[in-house]
Amino acid sequence: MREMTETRFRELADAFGSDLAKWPSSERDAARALLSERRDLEAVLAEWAELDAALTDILDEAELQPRPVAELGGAFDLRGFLSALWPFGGLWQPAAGLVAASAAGFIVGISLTDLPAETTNVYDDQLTIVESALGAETLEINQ
Amino acid sequence: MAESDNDLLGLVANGDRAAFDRLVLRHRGPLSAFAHRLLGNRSEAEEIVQECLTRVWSNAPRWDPEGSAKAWIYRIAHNLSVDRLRVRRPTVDIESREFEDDSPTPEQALTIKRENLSVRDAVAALPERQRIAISLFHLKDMTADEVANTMEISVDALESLLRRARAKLKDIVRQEQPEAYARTAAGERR
Repeated sequence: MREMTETRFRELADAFGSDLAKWPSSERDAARALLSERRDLEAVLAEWAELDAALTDILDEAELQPRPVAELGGAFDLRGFLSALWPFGGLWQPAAGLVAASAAGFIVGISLTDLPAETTNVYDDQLTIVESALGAETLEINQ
Repeated sequence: MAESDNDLLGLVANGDRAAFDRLVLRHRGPLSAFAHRLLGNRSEAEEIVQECLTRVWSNAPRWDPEGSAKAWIYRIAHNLSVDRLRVRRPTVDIESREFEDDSPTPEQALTIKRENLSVRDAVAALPERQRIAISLFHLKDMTADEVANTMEISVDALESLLRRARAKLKDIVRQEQPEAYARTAAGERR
């Protein structure tokens, strides 16, 4: 184990920043002990605090969290949107057509598939579990 | 008392889906941030996270409980991200990059001055291994030991990567926020 000197303390601060809790476990206790004797070394840590804060901010996972729909462009008028798509009368007409086409596609797809049953494969099962977990997470965030 | 990552992954290894949900809830955000920082692309990052979590679920029974669950999970994300980068740049040997002279060329230095790059941009411009090290180390609760374990390098090698990266980034912060830097350099606590 290396001796903890002021020089070594500065080297560690240069690399690992202002939070001693994140420093290598092999030298953390010695660094804390030196800091308790040499309070002037707090200035060494303070030199890095600004950069640490900036890096933590830009890596904050919040930037990648799903945004609520309302933030994406105001309230969404579903009825108006559908009316614009189908201005010819009741919406049941295109809806029924869509259902019929989907059913036909499903039946044709099943009849043409010669993959073995187990090809509803393990990977699909895993993906379902992951997607379920991700969905649970999203719900939790949006609450 | 909160369950540790090791507790949760142990349960996941036995097929506990509720434990997997809790593990995902805890790590999805940081994993996304890490992959996004490495790849610079949000949708690719989400793909990496999904693939990573799929592998966590399927490979959990093979995880060694003596090791760190967090490092194991992030190593999967790290390896997937690096593989993705290799596909983008097939001629680059990323292992050797650690030993290259990564100081900016005069043209690059001039560009940096002209464009006054923010810290965010400066992180994106770091050599790959340094960017990985910085991205992992500044995720919440990641210690030096865990980052080294994740990257499968020694703590000394990590120290070298971080020192070089942070020296460059510190210059950027100093240029952007000279007053704040002067205060902290003088020892004023925030």
